[in-house]
Amino acid sequence: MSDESKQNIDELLSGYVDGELSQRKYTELKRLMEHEPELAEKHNLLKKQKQLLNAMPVEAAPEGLFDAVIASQERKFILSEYGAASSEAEGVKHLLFRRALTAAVIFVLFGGLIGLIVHIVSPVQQGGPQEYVKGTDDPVVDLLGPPMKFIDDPVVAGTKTPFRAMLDLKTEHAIAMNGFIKKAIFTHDLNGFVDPREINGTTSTIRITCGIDSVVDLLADLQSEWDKCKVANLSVYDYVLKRYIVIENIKSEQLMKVFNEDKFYARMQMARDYADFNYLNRYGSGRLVKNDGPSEDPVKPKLTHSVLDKKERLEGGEKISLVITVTGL
Amino acid sequence: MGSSVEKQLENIVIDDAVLVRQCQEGDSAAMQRLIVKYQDRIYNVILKICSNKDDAAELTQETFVKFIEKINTFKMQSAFYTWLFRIAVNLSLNFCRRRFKIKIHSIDAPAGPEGENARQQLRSFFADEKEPDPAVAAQNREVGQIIVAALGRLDDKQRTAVVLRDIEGMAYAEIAESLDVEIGTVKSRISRGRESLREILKTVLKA
Repeated sequence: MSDESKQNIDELLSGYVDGELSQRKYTELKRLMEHEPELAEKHNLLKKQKQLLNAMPVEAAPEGLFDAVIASQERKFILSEYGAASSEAEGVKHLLFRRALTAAVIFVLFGGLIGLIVHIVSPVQQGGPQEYVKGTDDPVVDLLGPPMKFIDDPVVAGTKTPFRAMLDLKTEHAIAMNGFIKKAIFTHDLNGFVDPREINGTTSTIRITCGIDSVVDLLADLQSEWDKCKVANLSVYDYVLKRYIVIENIKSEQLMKVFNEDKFYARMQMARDYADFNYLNRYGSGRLVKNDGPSEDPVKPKLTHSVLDKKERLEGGEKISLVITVTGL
Repeated sequence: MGSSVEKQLENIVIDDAVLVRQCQEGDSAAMQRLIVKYQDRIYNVILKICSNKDDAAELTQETFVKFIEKINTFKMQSAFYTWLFRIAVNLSLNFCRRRFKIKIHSIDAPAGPEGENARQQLRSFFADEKEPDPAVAAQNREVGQIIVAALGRLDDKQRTAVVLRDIEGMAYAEIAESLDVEIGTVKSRISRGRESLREILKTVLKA
């Protein structure tokens, strides 16, 4: 007998025992059992097995089941209430955190995108150092929008000063720095070449127009105070571009290198090079390395200056117009 | 709960549907009536499925906790009785699956002289060509232990089907509803379960 037919007969027998067969199947199986004693025996055993199971005593459920159920239900309710409340609070916190994080990410990405677009489309940003524009009618300048910073033209009326520069110092020791500059001006007998000092809030401005050697002496003295400056920018007026070229975060050595150049055009070129170098070092992507820039060797005032007589040093040679601005932080 | 209360409740025959409706309205007395009405049957079915009194007690309690929690979802589309048994059976089968993993031992068939007496009694019962009274054999505690131990060796699904049919006395359709399966599946499980049980008992009685 195959497994399938055996299973079918077992199912029929089981149904027979349970009285769940149709009349036709019931009659057929009954007739079959009359002719097959093994089948009848199996039916007999199944019937007795069922009767035995059915006759098993019913055990009583544990005492106090209802009370236990109610107590358990109450306990569950309290726990779920607490759990729901705490998980809800956690959920709100989590949601707020996620929203804040998403907003911050979107803000940063958007800001970055705007910055990138500005960086790409803006010639001022793209072309090199930040440049101050002073009173120009250049249509290109007008297209670029307003200058980032406006500083009065330091040219003293009637004075021929081809080289015009502005030294912008920001320091936490503004009083000491101003005192030091005042002392240096006095030491180098530059009082007669300095316009009255202007004070505007925490900003103090000194305009000097004198021979380049005296300016170099003055700046050489400033080197010792350089570390006190948080920011030191030198702006040099470029007559070709009609703009101020800014050397951001200029080092004292760089400052001296610029002013120690004898020739006007060499000085301008040095200023342009440092402007590019410092700008790229700060904002660039590493195209320039330090060695690519102008030499950074410590520079001291040329000794030849000291051999000039005092009057010649003050008035002689190329005239320089320098504006030193000290801003207290 | 005291037995006097149970007796009082037993004397009041109220239709399940009415009690269920009252339960859904938050009537705790109706809940108590339904629990008292079905607690023994639920406990016995669970006991036969999981073969352990402590586990059965716990699962019975859990069944009625679930009943209270879920009573509002009961739509009266089936008999309350089969719905309640479905909860009990599902909990028991889940428990059986967990127990299989952690290997908790169920009730074993009794050993020793008492066990031998019980086996002899069972042999006589099955061999008797007349119609012996099954209640006499089944009242013997050791015989009951042998049967429960034999049931415990069945496949979980087959055991559940046999218990619901042969011990609880449910109709095939009710079992199908309680187990959420087709009637054909119920027939098959009952048939195979009985056959397996017969084989197990034959082996036990030969020993």
